[in-house]
Amino acid sequence: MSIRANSTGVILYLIGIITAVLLFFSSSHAQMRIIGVVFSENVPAYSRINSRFKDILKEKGYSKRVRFIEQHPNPDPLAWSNAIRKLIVYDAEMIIVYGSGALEQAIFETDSIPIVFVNVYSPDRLKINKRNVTGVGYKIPMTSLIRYLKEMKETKRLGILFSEIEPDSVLQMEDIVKACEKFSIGYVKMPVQKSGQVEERLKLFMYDALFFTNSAVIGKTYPECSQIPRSLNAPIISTMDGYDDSVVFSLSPDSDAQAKDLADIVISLINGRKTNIKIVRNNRLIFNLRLAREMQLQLPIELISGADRVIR
Amino acid sequence: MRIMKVILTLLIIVAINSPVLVRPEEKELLIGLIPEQNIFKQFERYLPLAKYIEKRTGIKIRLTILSRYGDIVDRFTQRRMDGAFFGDLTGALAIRKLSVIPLVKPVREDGSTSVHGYIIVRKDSGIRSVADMKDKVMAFVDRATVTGYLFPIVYLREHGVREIDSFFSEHYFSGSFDASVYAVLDGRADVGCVKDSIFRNLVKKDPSIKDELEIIAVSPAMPESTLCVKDDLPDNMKKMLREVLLNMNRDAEGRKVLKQMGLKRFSEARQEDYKPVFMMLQSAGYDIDTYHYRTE
Repeated sequence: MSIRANSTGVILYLIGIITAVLLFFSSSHAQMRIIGVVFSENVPAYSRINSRFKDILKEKGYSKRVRFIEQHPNPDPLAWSNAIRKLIVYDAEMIIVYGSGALEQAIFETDSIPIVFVNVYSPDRLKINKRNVTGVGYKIPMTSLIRYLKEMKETKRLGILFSEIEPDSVLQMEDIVKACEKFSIGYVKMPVQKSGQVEERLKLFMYDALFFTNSAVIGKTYPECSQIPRSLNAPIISTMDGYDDSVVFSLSPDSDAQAKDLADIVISLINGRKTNIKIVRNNRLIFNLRLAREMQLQLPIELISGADRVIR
Repeated sequence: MRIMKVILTLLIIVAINSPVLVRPEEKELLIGLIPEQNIFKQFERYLPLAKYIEKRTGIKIRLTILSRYGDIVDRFTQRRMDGAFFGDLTGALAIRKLSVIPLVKPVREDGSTSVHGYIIVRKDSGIRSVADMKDKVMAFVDRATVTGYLFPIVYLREHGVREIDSFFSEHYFSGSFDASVYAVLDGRADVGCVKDSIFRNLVKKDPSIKDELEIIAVSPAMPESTLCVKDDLPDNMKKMLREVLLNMNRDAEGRKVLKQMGLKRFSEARQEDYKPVFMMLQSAGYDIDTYHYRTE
């Protein structure tokens, strides 16, 4: 009788243990969130922000609670759209999109899954009226770029390379046009829709300085074509981070600040809290003094003394 | 006779070394400058003045520029400077610590002899009050300035901010007033500070700056860069320097130099000019003798 009672007790004890283990695993599985990430292109700024963002999640103890599924499509609307659809099929509970091209497609594909955008210029002007969209944007005063350029070289015609399929690239083009008009500098718009058109545009148009917007389409092929404006002795300026070797100076949003704001938003969403769109205003000025010297440009003291980084 | 010769020789030696009898043309003066704008521009601005003084007095003027505001107090004695164009706070510190006396101060083209500090933001920043500055980036100029540090600190305190480290997401020292303006213009800092004379010069060169920036606070009047010299400088030399500078608006060459500097003339400076600085220090709760003016 006592042996039977003992074995029943052992069985009940084992059942209890197994149930507890199963409950533990099922609850930890329920806490694991699938987050989809779409990069409009493999541009250096996106990689930098994403890497820092993951570090912050780890520091805050969230790295084991999320699983990332990353998509690196070609920079074109169809590929961006397909990448978003894949993430929807994977049951992503949140989709992070780098760049305004992928953002536009994400907004089109879903209005139920939270979308978090990153590295988008002036998002307040993109007329995003969807409740499932939030993210981290930035603002760059385009007048500052023209002001420094004027100090470096008397520019008659600024080539403005921008992507027609990325809404914030178009906004940057419009703002730099206004800045050119304000400072009485001529300009020529150089629109692209595909990466393959960048080289053609650089050869086709006449310009004595070049500005290229922050754009996934341009970022994909620009480094291979940077010799074209160089051969014209046209200094290149940009709002895009990570092309320091060929750009004389860039004014771009700080990657760390964007990563921090992104982490704050993602953590809030994981915890079921509402978030607002954040605008990073912490910009970084990088001046390639070596290149400016090689191109025999004037060296504005404001750039040398004020830049966050001077490449010598 | 021998004794007479020795006495005569001694008298001659004493006379030669007496400050009263120093002949100005035998002397060289080392004058320090503070980096209120970038050091190249600052040097360029004062060089014609140095040449003018040299020509009028026969005293050779050498200029030396310090990389930081506080350095002028620390290195004045070490580098054996004879005088310096001190700023608002460095002037007050120098009067207190270095035994210098104010000689002349500049009179600007609009007739003013003092400066005001501005706290500036971008017009499109959405910052309209101290509360809006929370978690933003602040670009001060240097701890050894009233307009570029002390005034913003007092202003923030008056509006309830006592700990700037936790109030701003980041704050740093740009080193010069123009660098602070460009940092705000570029969006590298959200809030900056500048003194009105530098701000006006920048706007004169590029009027678009005024369209983009908003002045949200103005400091009380503070003394403008004042030439102070060592108290033990020979009296005739001090007098000569004072006279030449006070009268330089009376000759064409002098007026040309003044115009290049954006000045109308020089006027006599007094220790009382620094009263507002001492008052500002007091209202900020600082003691000038222990004030930590070095910017690391």
